[in-house]
Amino acid sequence: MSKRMRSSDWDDEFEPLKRKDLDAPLDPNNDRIVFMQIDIDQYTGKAKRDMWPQGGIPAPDQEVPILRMFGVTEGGQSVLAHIHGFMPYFYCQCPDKCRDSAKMRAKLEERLRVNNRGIKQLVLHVEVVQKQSLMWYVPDSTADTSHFFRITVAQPRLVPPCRDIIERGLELQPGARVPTTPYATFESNIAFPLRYMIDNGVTGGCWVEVPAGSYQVRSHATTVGLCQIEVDLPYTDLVSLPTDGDYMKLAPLRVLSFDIECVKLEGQGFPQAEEDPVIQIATVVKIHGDEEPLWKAVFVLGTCAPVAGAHVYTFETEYELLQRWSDFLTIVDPDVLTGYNVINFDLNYLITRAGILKVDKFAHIGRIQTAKSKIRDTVFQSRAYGIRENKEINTEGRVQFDVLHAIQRDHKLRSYSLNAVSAHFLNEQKEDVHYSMIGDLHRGNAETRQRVASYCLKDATLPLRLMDHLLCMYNYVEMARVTGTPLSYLLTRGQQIKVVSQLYRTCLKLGYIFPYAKQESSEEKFEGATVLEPEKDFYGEPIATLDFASLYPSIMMAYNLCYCTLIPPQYVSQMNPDEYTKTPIGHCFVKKDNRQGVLPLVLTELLAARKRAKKDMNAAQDPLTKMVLNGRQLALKISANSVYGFTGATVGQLACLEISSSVTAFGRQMIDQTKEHVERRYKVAAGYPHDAKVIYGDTDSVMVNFGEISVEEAMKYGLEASQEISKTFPPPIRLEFEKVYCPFLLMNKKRYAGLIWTKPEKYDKMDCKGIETVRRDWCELVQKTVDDVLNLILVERSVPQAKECVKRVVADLLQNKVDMSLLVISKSLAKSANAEDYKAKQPHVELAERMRARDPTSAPAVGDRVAFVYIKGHKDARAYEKAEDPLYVLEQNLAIDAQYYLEHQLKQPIIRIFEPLMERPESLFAGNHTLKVSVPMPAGGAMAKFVQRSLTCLGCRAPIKEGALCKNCKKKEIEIYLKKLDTFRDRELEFNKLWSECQRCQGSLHQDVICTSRDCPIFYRRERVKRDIAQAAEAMQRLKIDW
Amino acid sequence: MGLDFLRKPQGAVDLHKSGGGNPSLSRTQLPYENLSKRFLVSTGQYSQQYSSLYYVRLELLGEAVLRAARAKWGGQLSNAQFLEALKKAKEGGECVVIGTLYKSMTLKPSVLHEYMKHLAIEGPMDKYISDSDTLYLEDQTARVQLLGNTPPVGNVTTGLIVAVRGRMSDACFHATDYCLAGATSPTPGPAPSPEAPRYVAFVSGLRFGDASANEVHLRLLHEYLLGSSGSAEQKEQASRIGRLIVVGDTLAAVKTEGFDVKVVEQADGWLGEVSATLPVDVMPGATDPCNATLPQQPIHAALFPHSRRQADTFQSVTNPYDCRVGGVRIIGTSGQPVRDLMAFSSCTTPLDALKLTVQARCLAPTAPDTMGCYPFTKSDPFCMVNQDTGEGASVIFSGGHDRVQYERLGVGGEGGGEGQGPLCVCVPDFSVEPVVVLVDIDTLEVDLVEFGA
Repeated sequence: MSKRMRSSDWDDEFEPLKRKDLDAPLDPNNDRIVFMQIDIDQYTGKAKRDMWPQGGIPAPDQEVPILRMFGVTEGGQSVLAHIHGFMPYFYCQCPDKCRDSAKMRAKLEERLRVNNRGIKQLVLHVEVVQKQSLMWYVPDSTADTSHFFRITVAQPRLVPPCRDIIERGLELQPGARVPTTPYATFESNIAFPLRYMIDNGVTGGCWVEVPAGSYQVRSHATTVGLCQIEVDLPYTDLVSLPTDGDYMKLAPLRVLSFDIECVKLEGQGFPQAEEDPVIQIATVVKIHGDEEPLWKAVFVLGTCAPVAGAHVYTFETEYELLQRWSDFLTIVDPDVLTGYNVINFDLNYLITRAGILKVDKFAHIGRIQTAKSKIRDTVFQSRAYGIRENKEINTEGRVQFDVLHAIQRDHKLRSYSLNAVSAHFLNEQKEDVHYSMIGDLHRGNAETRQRVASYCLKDATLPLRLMDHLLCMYNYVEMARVTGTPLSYLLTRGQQIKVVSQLYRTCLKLGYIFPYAKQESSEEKFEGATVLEPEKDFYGEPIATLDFASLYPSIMMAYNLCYCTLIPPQYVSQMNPDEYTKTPIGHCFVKKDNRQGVLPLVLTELLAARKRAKKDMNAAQDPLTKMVLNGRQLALKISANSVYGFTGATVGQLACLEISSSVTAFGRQMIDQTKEHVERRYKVAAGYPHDAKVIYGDTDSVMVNFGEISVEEAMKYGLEASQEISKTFPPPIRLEFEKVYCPFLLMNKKRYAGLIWTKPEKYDKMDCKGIETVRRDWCELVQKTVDDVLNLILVERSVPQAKECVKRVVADLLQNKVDMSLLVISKSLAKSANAEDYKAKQPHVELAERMRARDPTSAPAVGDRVAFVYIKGHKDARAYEKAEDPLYVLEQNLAIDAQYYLEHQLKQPIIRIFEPLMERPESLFAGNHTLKVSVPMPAGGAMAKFVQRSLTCLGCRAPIKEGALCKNCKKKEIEIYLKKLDTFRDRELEFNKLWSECQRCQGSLHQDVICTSRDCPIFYRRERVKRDIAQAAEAMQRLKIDW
Repeated sequence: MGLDFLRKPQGAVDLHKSGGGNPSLSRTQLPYENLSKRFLVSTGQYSQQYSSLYYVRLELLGEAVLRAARAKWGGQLSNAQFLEALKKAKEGGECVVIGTLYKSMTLKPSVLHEYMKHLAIEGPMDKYISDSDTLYLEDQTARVQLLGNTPPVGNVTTGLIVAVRGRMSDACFHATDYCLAGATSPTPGPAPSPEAPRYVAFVSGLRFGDASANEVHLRLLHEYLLGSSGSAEQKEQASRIGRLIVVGDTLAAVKTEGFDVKVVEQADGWLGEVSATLPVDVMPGATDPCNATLPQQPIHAALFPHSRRQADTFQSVTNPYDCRVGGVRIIGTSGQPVRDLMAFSSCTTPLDALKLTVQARCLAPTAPDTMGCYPFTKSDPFCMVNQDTGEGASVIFSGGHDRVQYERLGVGGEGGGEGQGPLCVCVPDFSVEPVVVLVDIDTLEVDLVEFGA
């Protein structure tokens, strides 16, 4: 249905989208409010006298930080709680034994005052507290290391300047020096809302209670937010509820997914928000936990025909469109904003457009009426995720969950296009309409705009389906709960914040404080994990794998490795060697009896919690509870494993290479010990059938060849060995036996493949490690061939078949029979060939230039992915000259550079597989099967002009004057006919399957397919079959005899 | 010898009239006209897509469906409620919309899934329907989901043109009733011939050279057609067959690999001898050496070196095949569309499926969605409406089925004009059920001649 309506109609239209109101107004004296909090931020406001906990307001009319907590109740009402009275603080060592807190306060106040005149009192409070620095174990009882100033300041933003002042040195006493310890301040680098959460036991995504009698409800006149319930309360009254039992569930969060389409008004290239309009916004609203979306809507500029299952709203102006969408958003009041690359692109574009068109209220995407959403450019850098340039847009109270970012973080894929991702996870393709085409459709009529609408709608629907499919809500909420980090941090920050949050929490419990260290990038490297030299071979006998369970965490636990157990080298001599552990690389850590390490404690809790979660998960009946618990155990596992990385992250909050290098050193020692133990014990001399041999070991696993025995026996020995050897290590280090590989192909370090057996009856699956990358500079042919070959070797156990398979691929390649989509390589166009810093010529950049010369409208622009294949060039052609657009290659019938694909793509990966299996695996790439080469006749171009296409016999290609067959072949007419017929039949069926599939996929029978999704396996096949079938039809035509 | 017994028609003297004691019979002659030109694909253009075919089909049949809808609901609804386009459907108001059905099916085979999964996909199935199938209706202007199980999801397939009555609500069309175009009424032939009965014979699935072919049955059939054996009544009956239509799957065993000349010789010999006395039309079928998708072009002449010499009585024709014999229009296929319809709907008998195509006035509704066909742009030759002559077919047949079934339909919608509509015939695969179907073209009654046991 399509609607164009008057202003008042809109309220009716959107009415069903409104959140349900409370049954009765809140009674602050008797009603408690329980909600799942999803976002916390802070603002500066006048202190509310009655909301201040005991201790009183620092100064009358003082501006203080106030926290805002957003959330959703079980009934689906949105809540905003203003939390008062919590103030920022940090610690510093008492300099030179001075414990004069009044002096300290005055000194700081004076120094801070220079740049902060507006605030009445800057440093609110200083007191001396007894704490322990998390860093170092200092046995010297005489050194006073346990007294600290706890400094409370008026604003969170005052913490960094305070810290700087202290670091530079405060003259509290005459002749005082700049502090000598490397850590002058403690806990001086933590976001204020997170500080609050840590101190009050609030974790990300947990349920909280605002008890009856503790809060005031804001009147309509004083509300600042768009939530249904808005209250004020002192921070001391808010109760964080443990995420167990009933509070494990997720609130009925409203998730809004959207996608925009925009068109270039003039010229070519990608639309720019400064100039080009938004023409459609598709939006899908879903309540978490519901099967079906609550509402699907497309906002369209211009008329639009109905879209199946969606509400279509049409507008005459872009201004009106944006305004109504903004109304829509406000009424839906979503808790989570999602989409695909939606923050960096769509939301950014919308806000920019709204600014240009002066749709003033549009920019309030968040839940605070007065807060305007602004765009900031940020660069996010992380070891794990690399450098990313992002747009940061404030949407107070609404969590941004960009599905693209989540998938980039959690999955390694060939391509992250929505199309490729949907294909990978949902097993479904998505129509992809080139942005230049969108303009034509938009300028067409109601029907063509409807095409854009259904396309746009699909782009808004898929992210939601991906979220559901990948259990994103469950897994991310659980991660927030386990690590105690706000939900919004999980996608926008690195791994470290999660460890920091957990460490702070444990420190708080144990009386430690977390030192502030300047982040300095260091080149210092330490020796990594051990990799035993692999005995490359193909093993037909079972190979038992012994794994250390959670190796690094258990080493840290077993040897009590922590910041607070590390003994400074100068103190080691004072200690009794029984009191500490000396690690294989010489660092000393005090033993558990003296001091329990914080990291081991955190790890113990995490692993115990995971065990519990797994147990509960298996016991749970309710599928939703199961999903929550599965998310939890995953989060716990990831958390436990990231602790080690945190200690080794040199660009980090608290790197400590003594810990991380000791961990890996222990790991290496254990692998060696295990190898030695196995080979000593399992010998013919000791009554075993064979001498066992460790054929490979890596990081936390050792692979043992017990000789030619059955899988069942190998399992018996594996289990026995793991139990025996475990006894030689301190708990909780444990060697586990999990699986047997049989057969097993060991190609190199970190590169092996085999069938996994966990029960003696049947293998579970094939496991391949380090075998051809998912990177896009490998074409899919390599991946596919490697898969097929491994399958033949391991499952079919037929090396001859595997060889045949390779030879067939090689022959197909040389005979131009390989599907184009398997040969495509793609690279993202980072800069154009005209860019100043473009020096070394790159294939995809050069190709983009050539394509621009051919057709500027469809040529790739900067930021696009350029797909290309290598074609035959002249003799000395460079690689970059040989890259060509696959479509152009199909149209022009150009020859693929088969040699390139053989030499630079197939050869190395295939040879690596066959090396343990045969002499001279290179021979697979030479021989009879490589003799037949067919090169297509180019359709146009310079060469074609010189080639006369003369009539040839369809049977033997001999030149003939007329008809279809030469005299000789005429005798075999039927045979030749049937052969050509076979080809034609295949092509006919292929043509039909491909084009009807596209017709279905695009969701319309009556309109032409316009999809140009190059990621889709159909795309090139579809183009090629058009040419092939026409060719085959021509041959059929020539053979036909008039009746 | 049989060959002497029943002569070629042109040489025959009609002995029925004379009624004398000479039992020598002559072959009934039937005037014939080939109407299958539209099924010949000579251009071999493949740069076009399938959308035009759907467009043309809706254009061609939409009007007939509208007429049927007006006839059905005209008394209850105003003119304005019959919408000219789907996009005009507004929330709330009752209306009638016309469009092409699209059935979304979870089990529908997808070439995409074949490519995306590395390993081979499950083999073909008998039925692809499931409970999660959903219907959509679309025209040039829009697509809406149909709710209300009207038409029943199982009973219909993609590609049918229907009118649906109901109302839009929550962006879906809630249907309360539907109708198809309905069968066309047969154009009456000339007044019954005094020579009645006059037969057209149908046989399918001769499968020369195939293991399933029964050579005894084939020989008996041969003798029957030539009138060289059997009772006097049988001979008399055989003499009244004026035309034989071989409905597909004649050369089942001819494949490219290991091509066997003997198979061709056998079939060619058989057909050559039969066509010496009786006009024979050979249609290609699913297993014949012919192109794979509809319309199938005549089987290549090179495969009938002997029979092709009987140029006036032996014909290799298209599938679908459309002709006028003795003034009666006959149209049909070698069975692929009916089998496809059965696989993608809940139809359990070939006759039900064939009737659906007749009522929908489309020989191959599931082409091109689940069945291959040529991407026609300016016409949909499968539509049985106003093409070439504007007349309705009297006999609509489909070959290669596991049993023989036939029924005389009513005209228009279901139940209308009992027994006045066309005759639907499902011709059995001869190798499964050795039956020749004789259709009396004057009365449209059916006689079966069995060769089993």
